[in-house]
Order: sequence, then C-alpha cells, then structure tokens
Amino acid sequence: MSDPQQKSYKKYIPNPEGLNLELHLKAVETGLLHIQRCLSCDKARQPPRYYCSACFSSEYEFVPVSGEGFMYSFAINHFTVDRAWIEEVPYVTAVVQLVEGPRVVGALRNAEPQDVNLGDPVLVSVEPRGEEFAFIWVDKVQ
Amino acid sequence: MDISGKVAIVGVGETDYVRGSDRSVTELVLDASMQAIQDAGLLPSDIDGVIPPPGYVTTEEIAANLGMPEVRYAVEVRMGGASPTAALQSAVMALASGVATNVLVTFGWNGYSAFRKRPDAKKTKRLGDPGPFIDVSRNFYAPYGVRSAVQWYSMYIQRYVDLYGITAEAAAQVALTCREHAHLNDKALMGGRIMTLDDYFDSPLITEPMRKLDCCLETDCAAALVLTTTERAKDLPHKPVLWLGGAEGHPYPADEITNRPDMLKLGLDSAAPRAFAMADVSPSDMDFLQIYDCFTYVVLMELEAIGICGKGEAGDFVKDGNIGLNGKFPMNTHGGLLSQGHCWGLNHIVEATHQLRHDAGKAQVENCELGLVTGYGDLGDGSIAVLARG
Repeated sequence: MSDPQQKSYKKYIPNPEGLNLELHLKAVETGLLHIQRCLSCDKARQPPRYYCSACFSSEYEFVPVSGEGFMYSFAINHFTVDRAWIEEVPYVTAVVQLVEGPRVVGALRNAEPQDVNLGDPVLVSVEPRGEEFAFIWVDKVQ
Repeated sequence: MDISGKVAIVGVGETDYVRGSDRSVTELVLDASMQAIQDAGLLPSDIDGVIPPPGYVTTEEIAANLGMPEVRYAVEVRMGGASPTAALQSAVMALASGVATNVLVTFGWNGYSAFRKRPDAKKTKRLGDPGPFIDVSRNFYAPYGVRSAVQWYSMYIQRYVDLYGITAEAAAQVALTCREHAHLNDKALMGGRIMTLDDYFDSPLITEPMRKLDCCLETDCAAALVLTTTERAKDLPHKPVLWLGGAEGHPYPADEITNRPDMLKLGLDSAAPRAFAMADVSPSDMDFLQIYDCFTYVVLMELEAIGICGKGEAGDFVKDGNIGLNGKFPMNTHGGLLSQGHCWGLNHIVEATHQLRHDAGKAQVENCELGLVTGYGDLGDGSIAVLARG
C-alpha cells in the first residue's frame, strides 16, 4: 500500500570497513557472490576474518562462488522496526547453506512465506548498491 | 582455588517495574543499590567492588553518588542479558581471592521510556552501548531488514522448531506459566492481568514462530545485589544465599549466528555442565529454575541446554505441567521478563535469593534448598549460577 503522505525510506546501505569492504568490493566489481578462502588450507569462511580458525594462517583470498545452496534456516518477518521494510511484510530472510561451505544471509524474493521449508534448494546472487556494498538476493529453485 | 560456596548473596534491592518512569537510569540504579546495601546491613562505604550495567551508568557515578570512597574492583560484563548472572562469577572471583570485600552488582535502564518519546518526560539517559556484535549485524543482517533481537533469534529458532517439531502450544505454556506466577507478585507489571491461551493465539505474529506474547516486556526498572564472603555473611542480617557454582559460555563465533557449526548450540550448552560440576549437583536436584525468558522459545532451548530435559524434549516437558508452582521444577516464580518486567535477568537473581531465604511470599517454593538462574544475551551468550540456602 502506498500512501502519498508517507515519507519514503531508503533501504539501509552499510559502510563496510576492512575485510568486509574487501569482500563487498569484489562482489561489486564482478557482480558475483564472493567468499573468503584460506590460502594455506583452502577452508572457506564467512563473514571475513583475519585468521583462519582451522590453521591460523593470515593469508587469504576472496573467490567467486556458485551461489548454489539450500535453506538452512529462515526468519519470516511480520513486523519490523525498519521503516524501509514496512511495506514488504511479511518478508523472508534466508539463511543459506552454500555448497562451498559457509552460510550467507539474504532476502528471499521469489516465494511466499508459506512455501519456504528447511532444505529447499536456492540460488544466491548479488546486486551492487552504491560503490561499496552488494545486496544478497536469494531465489528458490523451482 | 575452590570457589564453590565461598561467596554469598547477602543483599537484594529492586525498584518497581513500570512503563513510563519519571526517574533517570542513574536514579533507578541508585535506588535499587541503596536498597540492596541496606538489606545487607551495610553502608555504601563498605562496598569496594562494583559491577554496573554496561553503557548506562558507570561505577564512577554510582560510587560518587552513594558514597563509596574505597572502590578497588570495577568491571563491566558485556554479554547483553547474560551479563548479570555472568557478573556473579566475576564478583565471586574478586571476593574469594580477597581483591574485594563487598561487591555491588546492579542493572537498570529505562527499557520502555528510552525507546518512546514523551514530551512530558524527563530527559532519559543514552540507550547503552551498541553491543559487541555491531560490526556483523550492521554489515550482514541490517541490510535485510533484520535489526531486532526477535529477528536475530528467529534465524535459529525457526530451525529449532522445524527440526524438533516444537509447537506454539509449548511456547504458550511458558508465557502462561510466567503470567500465572506474576499474579502472585506485587512487583510484577502484569500481575492481575489475565492471559488465556486464546489471548496468546490472538496476539500478532512478530517474527515467526514468535508472536507478541512470546516476547518479554519492556520496562523501566533497576535491581541490585550485594555479595560478600560466606565467612563474613555470618555477621549479616539475612540467611546467606550461597553461590555454589556458575559459568559463562559463548557460542562460536559469538558475533555471528549463522556460521556456527551447530546453530542451535547456545553459550549455555557449554556453560551449564561446568557450573553443575563446580557445584557438585545435577540439574534434577534443583528445587526451582529462574530461566532467562526474553522469548518463550529461548526458554525451551535453555531448558534443554541445562540438561533438565533432552534435546527437542522441552516442548513436551513444559506442556506436562513441570514448570508451574506445583510442578517438579517451578520456573520464573516472579513472573520473569515475560510478565514481571525486564531487568536483564537481575530480577531472576533477586527472586532466587528471596526463594532461598524463604521470604518469596505467595510464590514461595516450600522448603527449597537449591535453585538455579540462567542468563542469555547478545547473539546467544549464556550464563548460569547454582545457588543454595546457606
């Protein structure tokens, strides 16, 4: 519902710093979802961290990933304190288990809340917003 | 050093639990603190250790306003709602080691008024610090309209209910039990306000599976405790309440929910066994449970984490009447965060102390000797204390 009197609120765009900025810049530059990978033991991790929790190496790279995964968990939001999201309720926030290992949080856009189940196959993609942030979209694989 | 039983809670204080206080956070905290110090039979100048609420009121303010010239131990515990119960561990270490002799643990906030502008209200204090996980939540949750506790926790509660078949009726039982107990407590905000199962199901969904009545209250309040050594407690007016064991636990990683190897493992899962081992008791020995109840479903997960029942069994456990005042494990006998008020669980410790002193009024668990308190906060941090009548 749109109310002409209502002020329009923009969706929040963070100002990432450090490793988070490196991660987002890769996604913005390429249009592809990236995750961080340890150069020493190859373990993938998310969110980015300075040391690998498996081998404690500080050497890393950011690599593009397939975006393939499944619904590990989710939240169905019927209420929000974020005014920019009020018109979207009920919206589904997806926790996706990527085939590469780490999990990512994103917005599910092509399914109704009642049609979402743990284990549903999904595809994750990114949409650059601004110069330093890539929004994560999640689509259920029909 | 064996610290089990070496330290006791000797004083408690709390304000009323209200919506729309005319007092600042500092005034609330000073009021509760002075009550606790007087209840302990001490003077403010006897207090030499202070653990204040992080981000709201400082040790410096408390000491200067109450008159504590000899502070030698001042720390803050930053675990959200797990802080007060974790603070007991810190107080015990300071007291048992001789670093401090009398420690004040306090918490207070305008948890209702600070979030709502009232033109007639006194200016209220800052909301507190943004929490130790702010970097992750800003970058990875907030962009998706996920900005509040009920939304963060739904990311694992949804998985919990789906994997274990936890029903809304089970969550309702937690809310209804806390409300029943609030009717017995003069200091409970919801005392006398009847809640039925229909009311529960009529309350709106907030973030599935949680409805409004699965969520705790927002209140303006403060509470405080004074702890000292068990030896010194013998000279003080009240029956001491002994800290037999306690622990804190942090899920890994603590600042990000979704990449934990097992997203359903809370800090309390690792803390509880350590606390019971230190206290040399088992969960089934407890005469009551004061469980941190920010949300009903979190209570169910905590009951499993402390080992009162097995994984996935908490739903049936609460539906079988175990947590009522006449049940096997009376729970949140003061009404809890859900129906007494939200003082970050310091009110749970105040209630446990009353229970073990046997002055809990209409909610008294007869002849209780042992009980526990849990804390839960931030993105799943946990704390626990096993307490005994001295």
